[in-house]
Amino acid sequence: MKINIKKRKYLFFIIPCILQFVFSSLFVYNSVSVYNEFKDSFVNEEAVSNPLLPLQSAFTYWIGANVVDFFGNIFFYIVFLGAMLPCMPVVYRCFKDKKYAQNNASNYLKIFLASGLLAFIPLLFNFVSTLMFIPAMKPDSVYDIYFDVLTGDGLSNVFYTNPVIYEIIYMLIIFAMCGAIGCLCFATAQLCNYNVLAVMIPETLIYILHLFNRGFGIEKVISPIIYCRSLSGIMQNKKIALIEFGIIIALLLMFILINSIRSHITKNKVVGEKA
Amino acid sequence: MKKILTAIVCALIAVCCGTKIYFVNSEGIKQEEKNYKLNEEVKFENNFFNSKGDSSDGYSVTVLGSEIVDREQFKKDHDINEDIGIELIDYFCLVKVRFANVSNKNGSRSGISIMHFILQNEDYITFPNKIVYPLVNKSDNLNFSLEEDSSAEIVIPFAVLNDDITAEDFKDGSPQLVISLYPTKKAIAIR
Repeated sequence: MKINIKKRKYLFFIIPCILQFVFSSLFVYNSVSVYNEFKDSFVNEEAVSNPLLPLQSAFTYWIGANVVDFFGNIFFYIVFLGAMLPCMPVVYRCFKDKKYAQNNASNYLKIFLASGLLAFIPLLFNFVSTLMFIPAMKPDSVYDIYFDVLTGDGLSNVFYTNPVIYEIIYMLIIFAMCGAIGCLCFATAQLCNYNVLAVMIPETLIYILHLFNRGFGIEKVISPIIYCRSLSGIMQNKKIALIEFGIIIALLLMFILINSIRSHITKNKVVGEKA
Repeated sequence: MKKILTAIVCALIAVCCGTKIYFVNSEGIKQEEKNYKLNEEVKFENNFFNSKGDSSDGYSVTVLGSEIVDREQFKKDHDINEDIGIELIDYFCLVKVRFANVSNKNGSRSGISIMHFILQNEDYITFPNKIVYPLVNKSDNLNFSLEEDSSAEIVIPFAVLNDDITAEDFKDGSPQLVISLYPTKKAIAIR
């Protein structure tokens, strides 16, 4: 069965998305098993101890609650390293069709949305599917160590008053970060004359940063793959997060500027040659 | 037609998810919450923090007032000249309470455990400070029992750091003294 060339580009979005759904479901399966074990033990014995210690809530069990899990790890690697995937078909098409490559703004917008949604949709799927199996107890700061959201973390008051809004803010931050990474990948490829392999350069740098952080046991968390596993993680490392996000945006703007100057020079050359 | 079908399927999935979430949440462990006012006598009843063993059933507590004192003022008030390990604390919230044994006949087998209490101010929590407790109470007994029909006035000192919450923000909030967590979370306003 042949796949339509026009539709093939969607595979770079749909396949990783399905893969994320699978890992997310396996993560939820593990979480629900742990929760059910707790629930059974609670039903069998009388309440001689506080069953809310440790606190069992969907907000502590979903993938964005910094839970250590094998499938959760793979999920977050794909969230960050997969941000380049949606721009691959765009880069390929730009390489083949120079007219298509001229729609720079529309290409960047498409990639931003696709890369962002590739992170946002599986996160939302995980959050909703966790809520379907584990009750979402309204967060109370007396159990703050279980939520890992402490005073001074930034937006902690939002978490304890409107936890769903807090989680949506988290998903939107990841959306923006992955969207920006996707755009940077596209800009890098554009700089290298739409070389598909160049798309991987920013992601490789992020992965090297991650390996450096883990391998050398640096006390400060500098890898977004680590601190972006929860909003409290981002807030606890907000300086590093802001610097890294700033670097991504600065590089992106720089590359866009270089590309536009270059294309302007090339255009002038062509006009000059024609004249 | 295809679009209408997709919309119907999406709406159905959303309704199913919503229904499932509703039922899961209605079955979850519930923690009742009760809030009390300043100067209101509150009975502990069968509520506890960690386990039934630490319940102060038969006792009652009344919050009489509170004050915020910065570290230097506190040191001056209590003639502290040497380093006693409070240099990192920015200010103290001193909560004056009265404990009364209303109907507890267990003698010294049960009573009050000061270290269990929590001071909660919206998203901020802090615990009693062991170091300054003897200074404000002239007794270092953090666990004690009272004879039936007797009462005692105690000051519970809570240490607060500016990095967590500034004194101004603390004053603007609505701090409460949490006296139990389960099955009912009981909290009393301290002002």
